[in-house]
Amino acid sequence: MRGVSKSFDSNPALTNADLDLASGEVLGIIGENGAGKSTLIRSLAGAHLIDSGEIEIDGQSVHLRSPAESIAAGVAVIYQELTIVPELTIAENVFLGNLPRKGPVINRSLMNERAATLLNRLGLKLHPSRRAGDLAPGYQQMVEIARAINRNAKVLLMDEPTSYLSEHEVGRLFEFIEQLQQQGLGIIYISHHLEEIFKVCDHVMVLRDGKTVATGPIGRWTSKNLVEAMVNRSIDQFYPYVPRDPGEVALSVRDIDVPGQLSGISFDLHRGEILGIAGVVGSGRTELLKVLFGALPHSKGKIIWNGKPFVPKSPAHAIANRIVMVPEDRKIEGLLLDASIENNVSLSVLNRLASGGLVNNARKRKLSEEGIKRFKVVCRGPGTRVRNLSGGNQQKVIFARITAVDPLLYLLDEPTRGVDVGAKVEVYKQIIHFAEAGASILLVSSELPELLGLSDRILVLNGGRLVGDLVRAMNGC
Amino acid sequence: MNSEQAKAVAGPPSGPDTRKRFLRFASRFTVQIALLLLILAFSILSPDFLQPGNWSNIIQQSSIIAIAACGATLVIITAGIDLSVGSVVALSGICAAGLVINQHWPGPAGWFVCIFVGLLIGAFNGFCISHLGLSAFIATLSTLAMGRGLTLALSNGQTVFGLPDSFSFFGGGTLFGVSVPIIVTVIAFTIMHFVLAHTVFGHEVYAIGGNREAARLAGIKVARVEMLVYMLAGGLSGFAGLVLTGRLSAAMPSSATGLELDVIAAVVIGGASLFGGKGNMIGTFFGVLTIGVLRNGLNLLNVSPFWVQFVQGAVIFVAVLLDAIGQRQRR
Repeated sequence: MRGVSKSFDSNPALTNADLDLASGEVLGIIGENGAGKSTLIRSLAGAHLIDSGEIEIDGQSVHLRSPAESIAAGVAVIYQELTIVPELTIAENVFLGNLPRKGPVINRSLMNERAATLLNRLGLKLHPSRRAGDLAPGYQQMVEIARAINRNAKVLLMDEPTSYLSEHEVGRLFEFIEQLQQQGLGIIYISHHLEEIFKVCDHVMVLRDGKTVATGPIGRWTSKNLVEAMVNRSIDQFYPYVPRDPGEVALSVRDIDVPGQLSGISFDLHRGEILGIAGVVGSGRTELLKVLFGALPHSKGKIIWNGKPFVPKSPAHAIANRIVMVPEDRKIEGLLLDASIENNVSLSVLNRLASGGLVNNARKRKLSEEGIKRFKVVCRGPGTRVRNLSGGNQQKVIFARITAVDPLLYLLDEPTRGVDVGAKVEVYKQIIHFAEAGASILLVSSELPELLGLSDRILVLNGGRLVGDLVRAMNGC
Repeated sequence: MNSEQAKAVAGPPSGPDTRKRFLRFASRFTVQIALLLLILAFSILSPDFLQPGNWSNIIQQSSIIAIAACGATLVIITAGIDLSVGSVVALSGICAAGLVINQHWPGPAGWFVCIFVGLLIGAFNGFCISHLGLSAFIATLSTLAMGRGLTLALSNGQTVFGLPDSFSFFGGGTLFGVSVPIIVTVIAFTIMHFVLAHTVFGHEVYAIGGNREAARLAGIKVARVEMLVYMLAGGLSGFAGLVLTGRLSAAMPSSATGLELDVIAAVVIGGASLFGGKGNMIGTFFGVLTIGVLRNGLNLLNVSPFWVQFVQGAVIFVAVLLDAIGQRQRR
């Protein structure tokens, strides 16, 4: 790709982006949300028409005007959300849209035969007539890749491929990628998990604000300077960490058990401490937060909060005890998208804003205005519909809501997911501020730099168990 | 909240595209525009339409739908649905009539029977939906069937006649010269509007409809609020049964069959979304009026009742279509 540019309504999403991918090479692309990654993917996938620039595949100039043309040109995109049809067989999924037929009738035997050959070639021991929905997500993903190869893909674009994979499946995926490299495929690997980029990529490209700001072979980079290239700031500035003296133990958790999700979780959390929780998807991080918040029941174990035994019965109960949570998926679990900022911010404290059951609108408005000011929410006013705000501002609205309760314990689940760089720094400052004011914080994040930059201590979860406890001095970047 | 929303919609301002702007404007007032057109059409086509006696007729005949629609609006705002309305109306009437006539209970005791039956069924609905996690559609569909069955069983399929005047006050009486059903409807709407717009409970109802999980995680006691919503709906349906039975001074086991569809239609025409989070009593009021005007007007024009049903369906369709277009524009 040379000099590719794309704007949306005079909003430049991609400006003069350059990209080189050799056959058999894995190119990692990293960048913040809003840096232009999705625009780049969609331009290659034919979902957008680019405004200017050229794209060449195998030396041939191509105009990708539609997904069909892009597939025909040899580009295959594997999105985060898998597009496997669960009710169909593996073979049918591999040949989706491309079924071998005799006239109007599917040639099932030929399809199964060809699928078997392909799967074999890729080292996948799968039976082509098995139902695709019965496979684990990791295998489903590989079937999707097999589909792409079946269409003679030359370029494979993978967008956050490990989001839904277990650790074991991630390892298998990497072996698979090596196989694909040997077959001559060029692979573009987009992820914000830096460890993966280092493990699997030959080259790295950094996107920032729609431009290619850095490229180079993987050997030339360290975690630190990659992140710095992404955010254009020295990391030490980016995470406004301020050391604090941790107070007494505020939260004590012993032997928490949730069948199938968590087992034997025990730890202490001090006042004013930021405790990071690391682990891959499925390791139980979100479940741990939900148990403490009363959103998920636990079968065994004890919780002591502020010196008294505590059994969180419901989110309402937790909030009454000054425990708040920022949920993982703000659109599904955190916000009333079609309601105003004001109605969202006041959601947890309606009773406090009311007298005799009647909500005092002036108090409600004042609360939301304070929240907007404190968290610098960019909007037209407290009556703005939350759906119309950017991701970062939506997240800030959630923060405004939870602080209305004056919490002592913050349970933060991926608090900067989908938030642009500028807003991230503001969120980090607020988190440190909460801790300085004496609250305790549990921080779950998939972004290792973020975890390392903010936490006083880090717990590591794996398969529902606590496998590590790291203190800050030992885990410098 | 709906009017606040309407005022503060922060969508991107479109250019001087008059068609787009007209559609956006029209979609906010679909009900009122539809109503206006209907009134215009009927007043032209029928000389009797604009007579005050006719208007009193319209409101009185719509009162059953109106009272039930108060509760239904709340249910629909929570993204739920109550299909048992008609059955509750009939069952409450049969129970009250049975007790008053056969067991010689005093007439006014019958009022409390009606409301109590409604509350009971509402509580059952609420329990199934909020505590057992059944889908609202299925739960209320089964209460519709069980309720109707009970009505037929208890009455042996026979109409119960002869309810005393002391009972029929709410259905046929007058107060200061105004027919009681009209007064009752106005009071119910006013109270419900106030509850929805100004109380904590009202806010919680909108929150649950907007995003049930987010409301739960924000500390709202979702199960409790939902239970109350369905109980309210049941109680109001029972009250509607009281008015209907009072008007006829008799309880028919087949009465109010299909009422729930009229009620839901009124609420939806009034601007509430079946997906929840949107709607208000003012809209429902206009929705009820639209249906009432439609029925009455077509009646005056001697249109066959079969065609009335078709036209009603068409009006609902147009109202919902305009709302959907408006939604898309606002995004």
